[in-house]
Amino acid sequence: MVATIPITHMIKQASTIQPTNITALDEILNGGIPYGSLVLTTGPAGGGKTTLAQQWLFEGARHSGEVGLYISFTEEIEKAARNIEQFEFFNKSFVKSGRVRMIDGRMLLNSVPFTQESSSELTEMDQLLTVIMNLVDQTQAKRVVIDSITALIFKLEGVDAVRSFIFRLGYALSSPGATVMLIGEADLNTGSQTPVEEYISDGIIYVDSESGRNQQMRHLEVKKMRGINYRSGPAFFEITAKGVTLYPKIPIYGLTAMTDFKTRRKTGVKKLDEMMGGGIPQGHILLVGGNTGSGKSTLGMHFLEEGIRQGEAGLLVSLEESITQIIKTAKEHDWDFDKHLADKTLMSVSADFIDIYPDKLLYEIVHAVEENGIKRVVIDSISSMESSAYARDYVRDFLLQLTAFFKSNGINCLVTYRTTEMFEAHNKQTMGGTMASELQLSAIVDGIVLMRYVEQDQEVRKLLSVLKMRGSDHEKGIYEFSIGKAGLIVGDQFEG
Amino acid sequence: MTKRSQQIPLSNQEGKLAVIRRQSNIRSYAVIKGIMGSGVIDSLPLRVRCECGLPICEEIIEVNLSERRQIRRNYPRGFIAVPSHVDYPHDVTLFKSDKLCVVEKLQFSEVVTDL
Repeated sequence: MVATIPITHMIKQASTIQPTNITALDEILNGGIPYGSLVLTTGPAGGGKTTLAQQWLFEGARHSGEVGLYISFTEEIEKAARNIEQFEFFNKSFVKSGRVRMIDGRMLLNSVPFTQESSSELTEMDQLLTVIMNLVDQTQAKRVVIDSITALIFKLEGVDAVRSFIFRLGYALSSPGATVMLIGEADLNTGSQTPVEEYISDGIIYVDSESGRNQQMRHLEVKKMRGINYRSGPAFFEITAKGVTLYPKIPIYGLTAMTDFKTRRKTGVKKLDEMMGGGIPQGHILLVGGNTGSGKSTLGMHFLEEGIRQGEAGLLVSLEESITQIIKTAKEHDWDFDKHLADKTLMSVSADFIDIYPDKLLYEIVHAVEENGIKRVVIDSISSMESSAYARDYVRDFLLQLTAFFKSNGINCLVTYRTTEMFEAHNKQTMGGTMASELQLSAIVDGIVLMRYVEQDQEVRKLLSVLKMRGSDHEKGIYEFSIGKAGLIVGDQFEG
Repeated sequence: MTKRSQQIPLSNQEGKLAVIRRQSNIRSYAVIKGIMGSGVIDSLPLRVRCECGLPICEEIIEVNLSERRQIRRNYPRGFIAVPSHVDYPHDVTLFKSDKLCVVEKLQFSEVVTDL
């Protein structure tokens, strides 16, 4: 009936994984956090630590029926409760029923010292520890948040005291199987206020934010998590009415390309398909570069329409025009995108035109593809990302991950890219000389189709050529083309 | 696990600490009761810190609320300690099980009850 727990013989039982129930965080953590872990969630002020922790408690109560305990040492508990009411994860009935208990830690601190006599061996923190331990016992909490450990550390003198307190806190709470999330405050350059908590914690989740053009750019990174093989590297996240929504990167290592040269997807432009040797090889990424208005988007629509005609669902990632505008343009060619969207043979993903967040976009594309069995994707255009995205490196990472994902799933993607050179054939400049070079797209993609203008005989003509078709022969000629009701029609070879 | 040497008697400091730990355990329960109200559950654990008085002791004894209440009621002068921390012959054992002892510390005979 009674058992002692020797703190000096601390060998934790083999833990099982406790899902955080924050979907994408569980993806990053490869399932969740080992039960009984002491996790430090740290980062600068305003990074989203408290929201993440509170969401973890409420999602645990909702999905796993686990009791959560939130102890605030930084603000009035009524204020903390008011702040989370705005989020959809908040559930008042959980608070009322005690499934999530919100406790004013300052009230607990005021309760100590419990005795009139002070003792160097039994500090306020020892007594606080006893109270927290008993709270976890009696509430049977499986998730505990201490917000913040920094506030408590200020009360402790010296590194040894901090180490001892955190060590014993972790043990006292993990014994009944509670996972503890300590909120800490730190910035990337200086680390934690007291690095001790980082050494002692079983896990560290770092969150930070920086200013984007239109909204904050937030990142979460699991820096340490004992007992699991987590996904490293920062993941973009947003805080919206839903709470924390994460967009983790796609792990690209170990993906096998499913390229098939025998199976080709036609663009719907007969002559272009012939120029490419019968269409785009399955799993290939085709870059369509060209001046503004040259017909890149029309070719993209052709590709999607042809797929739908052949029973293949498509995804349109629109980064320049609104879907409404695209539907109208498609109608001019008698392509009923409105109907395709309604019957889900065509899906669409769009982004904030001012701030396009590659990680978020990537996540949405991957999920749309997986959920709808999509085989054809058009991204129109990647140039918008280049001008909107926070850092160019992000765009390159985005493309690398996306192409790896598409290739491994045998999906064809047509990416449009707006070039800046005008009339370059007329000037006899190197074709595609600067096109896509800044992002080094040509190395990432498998094929390149170039659409250009040329000035001849007092008029502007449109030219089309296939510059590259990896692993496959292709027509090298330059052809004139026009765009009409039936879409894009490739004419005779250009003889300028 | 820390182990008390049978040659070293309970010092005043240790006795004082034992009393403080016991008071801390008792007060802790009061705080919990204040928070939980009638929601405290007898069958659930309400662990105690070892009340032996050893300065380096960090043992936690796992008892449930019902057991703890029984101990406090039956042994109002008792200190709950892990068996290896009993200070023979200065502690008088009132109750003993595999995992804990309830002892009376003769120099510190204050009657306490928390439940």
